[in-house]
Amino acid sequence: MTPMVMHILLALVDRDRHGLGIAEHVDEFTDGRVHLGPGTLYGAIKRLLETGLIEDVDSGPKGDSKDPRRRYYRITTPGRRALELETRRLADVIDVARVKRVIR
Amino acid sequence: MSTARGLTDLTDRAYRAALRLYPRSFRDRFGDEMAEFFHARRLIARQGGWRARAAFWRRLVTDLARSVWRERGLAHAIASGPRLVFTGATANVRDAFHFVRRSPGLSLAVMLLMTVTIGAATSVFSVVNAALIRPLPFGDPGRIVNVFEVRPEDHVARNAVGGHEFPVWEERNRVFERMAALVYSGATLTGAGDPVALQGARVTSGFFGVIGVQPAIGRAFRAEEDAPGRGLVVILSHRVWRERFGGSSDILGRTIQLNDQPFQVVGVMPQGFHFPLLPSAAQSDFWSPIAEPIRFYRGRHFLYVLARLKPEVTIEQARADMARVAESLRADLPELNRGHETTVVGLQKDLAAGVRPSLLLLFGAVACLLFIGCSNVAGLLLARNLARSREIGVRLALGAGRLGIARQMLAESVLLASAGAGLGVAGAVILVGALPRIVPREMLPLDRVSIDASVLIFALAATLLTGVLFGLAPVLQTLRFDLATVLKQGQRTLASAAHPRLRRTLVIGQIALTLVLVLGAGLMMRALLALERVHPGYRTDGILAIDLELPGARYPGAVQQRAFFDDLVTRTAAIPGVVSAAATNSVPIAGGHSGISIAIEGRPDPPPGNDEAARYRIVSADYFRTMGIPVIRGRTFRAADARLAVPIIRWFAQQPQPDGYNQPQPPPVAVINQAMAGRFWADENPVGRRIRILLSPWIEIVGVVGDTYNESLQERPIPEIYLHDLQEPQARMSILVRSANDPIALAPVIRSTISTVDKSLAIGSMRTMADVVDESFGLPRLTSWLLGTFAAIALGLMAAGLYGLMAFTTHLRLPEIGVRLALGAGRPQISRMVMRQALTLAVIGMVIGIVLSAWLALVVSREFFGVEPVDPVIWVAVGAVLFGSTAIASWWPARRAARVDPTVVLRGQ
Repeated sequence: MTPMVMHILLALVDRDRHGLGIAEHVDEFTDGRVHLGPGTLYGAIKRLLETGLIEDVDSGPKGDSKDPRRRYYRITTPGRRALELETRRLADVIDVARVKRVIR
Repeated sequence: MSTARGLTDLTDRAYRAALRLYPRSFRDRFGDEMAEFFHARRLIARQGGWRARAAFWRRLVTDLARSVWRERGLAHAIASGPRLVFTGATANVRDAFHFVRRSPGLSLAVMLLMTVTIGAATSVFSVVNAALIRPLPFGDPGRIVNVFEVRPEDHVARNAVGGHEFPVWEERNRVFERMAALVYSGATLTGAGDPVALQGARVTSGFFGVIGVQPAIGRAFRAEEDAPGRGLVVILSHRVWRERFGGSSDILGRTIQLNDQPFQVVGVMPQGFHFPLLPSAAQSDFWSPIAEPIRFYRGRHFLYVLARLKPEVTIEQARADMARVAESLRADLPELNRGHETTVVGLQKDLAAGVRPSLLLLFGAVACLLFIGCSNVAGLLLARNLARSREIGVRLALGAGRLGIARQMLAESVLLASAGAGLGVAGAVILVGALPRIVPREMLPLDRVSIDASVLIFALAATLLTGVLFGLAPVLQTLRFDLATVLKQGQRTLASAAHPRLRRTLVIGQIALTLVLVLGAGLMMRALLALERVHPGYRTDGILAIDLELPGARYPGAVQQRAFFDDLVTRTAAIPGVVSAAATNSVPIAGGHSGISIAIEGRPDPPPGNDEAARYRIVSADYFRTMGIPVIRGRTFRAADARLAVPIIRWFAQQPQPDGYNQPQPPPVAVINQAMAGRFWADENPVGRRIRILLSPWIEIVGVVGDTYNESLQERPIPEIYLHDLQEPQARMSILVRSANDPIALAPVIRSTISTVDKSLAIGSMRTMADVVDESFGLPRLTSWLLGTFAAIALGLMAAGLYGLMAFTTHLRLPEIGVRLALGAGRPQISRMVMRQALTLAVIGMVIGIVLSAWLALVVSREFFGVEPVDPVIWVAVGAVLFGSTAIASWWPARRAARVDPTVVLRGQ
């Protein structure tokens, strides 16, 4: 799983978002270090949809302005599972790195 | 809805169009969302200033490129149907690498060929690019033009513009936004470190508008600063500002001493700004207004005129309009301007005029070389293909697609070409870096020559084109591959079919182009020899030239200037080791020239506008002795000619007579060259005749001297008048010193002699006459040297190509040869048979080459000095060289064929 895909999944953990929402969220949480262009983002979304890690829904959470062209994306159960596994794997890596004093 | 309105925006539409790059399915699914995404992001970026916007676009382009590549690749893996070249690209490249490792010899040969040809082509292109293609570093440079006077009757194509003409042109033209006149100028800067001689230009106020570059600090000149006496302002180059004034920020408004006159600094040009660009004026240090009553300098042609075309106006329209202006001037001033026309030339074209033919010739040569190199590679790959025909046959039999195999072959050749081209470009970088040491500086804008984006694009295009072209031959062959025959009979059938025909065609093409190249090189060498054989009419060895310019404040008039140079020349001549010394206002070859109109005593005045004209030079008494110019008749100058009233030439009627002009004193005298004597006194003795120059008193001709090549070795001597510097003193002179030994050894003594006469005088430049003349050989020498190298490489490649082909076809014919021998054919007969085959190719190639060359020779002879299109020596020599090398290349295969042992060959069948 690439960091970009993880960021997309993480953006969807707390609520459903449309593409722009995902990009803004990732921007915000990474201070702009991870930048998603439209082609990259929707390419990733396409692959996540194909693998079933996310699904698309017609309407967003309440309170979001309605726009018929906007599609919202929701993380699926396998998606959450995959994200969790990947995060644990990374956490293990980080633990080792800490022990070896690569980072503090 | 604002979004809807926004989406109709042009930028959004452009992005929508770009979405077409994605596969249709992707676009259908995500296109709308992406467009909206783009729109929203763009609005945010727009609020963030130009940095944010730039970052946005940079990221967008990367994103687009990356994701299109990715989505396309995936889409194609899924979709069936016609495959693109991209499909499985990585696998092809991997296979190609594998192939390269497997056949290192062949790969090395191909890469070497590509390195040489791409390297040569890229190096030459980088120079062509700098001189002819890359826009000049000025504002909207395509609109900057030069305007010259033309005198068809006198065969003067580009005359400097007369003082009376420029203001009228400026008023009457309808095509130029602005015009400006420029005069090259030098000045001594004092009071800022050691005195230093600066090069620069005096310009009219329109100059900075015409070139479209404004000072980085301060302002350009104002129109009122064109008025006589108002021009004591100066704009400095960035370099002088930094080196002489420490880059100080309060430079504006400061007064500096130029030629001991106070100039107020009003501006500093941007770093790296040069004008004039070319030639020899490597540095331009200052610009100041001309601020003289140029309108009254009637008939004095001394201005270099630049103009900026109005938008939408073409050069042709400008020419037509200037023709109209010239016509009106002819009507107004028939006595001055009869027969005078104008021409308008693009600035870049004008600057490159001297090098253009050479560069185009060289570029043509590398194009030929590129073809020859590539066809050799094609030949190699074809042969390699043959060796692989079994493998290919098996792969086809196992169901591999022909397209797939072809694609892999293309991948191989493009990979090899790219590797070779990479090395070639690296070589070009090194070569371009070394250029300043090889090429005479004033010939080419060397500081502009670099491997920039367009050069890289050229190299890339050349690589891909050649990689595909020479890769295509084997591919075509594969597509025509007859599977059954190959598997049944092995390689020979394949070989005797398409392959040799293709290779033969390539070899014929190589021979033809090699002939063109060798002939081109031969013609240029001939031209160089012709140039080197020209005797300039003066001696060039043992002479040192030193440029000096006297500052106007300390040497305000002709009398003071004369005293200085007279004293200096006398002192210099007294230095031990100096044979003789003289002064001149214009060193041959290196100096400028000025034409002037003359009248001859006792001859009816020519009809208005038909003034006789001659070039004039001002020299001191010992000039002819120092330069070794023979005296044909009469005498030269002597000290007793010194006049009380100097100068003798007045430029305009309002100019006052010099002091003491009505006192008794030696008469004005002149020496003329043979060309002048022949032109005006063909059957008479010119000595004792009198002429008048502009508004001068009558000047008596006292002697005739030999003709000299003063402007270049390529232009025949034209009528010239020498005036005596004791009668017509100058502020700007060059001292010529002839020594018995190496003149450079005298330099320190001469320097100190100059400073004993005037210790704050800056020395402009010091060089030997031999160097001056040698520099004028620079470009022809370089051109013929490079062409010779290219021709030699081409000859080698051609011979290798022919040898390869002959060795190969002979090998194929071995069984036949065996049979012939067994049936009693003699060995010489076999040799002859092979040789005949090779020489047939050679003859066909040479005939084609001769047709091409005939055209080339015509073009070259028009553009280059000393080239005769029908030069029997060269043609015969080139023919012999070509024929000889083809004979040698085919001799080995022929000998081998003749030595075949028929029993061995026939048993092998």
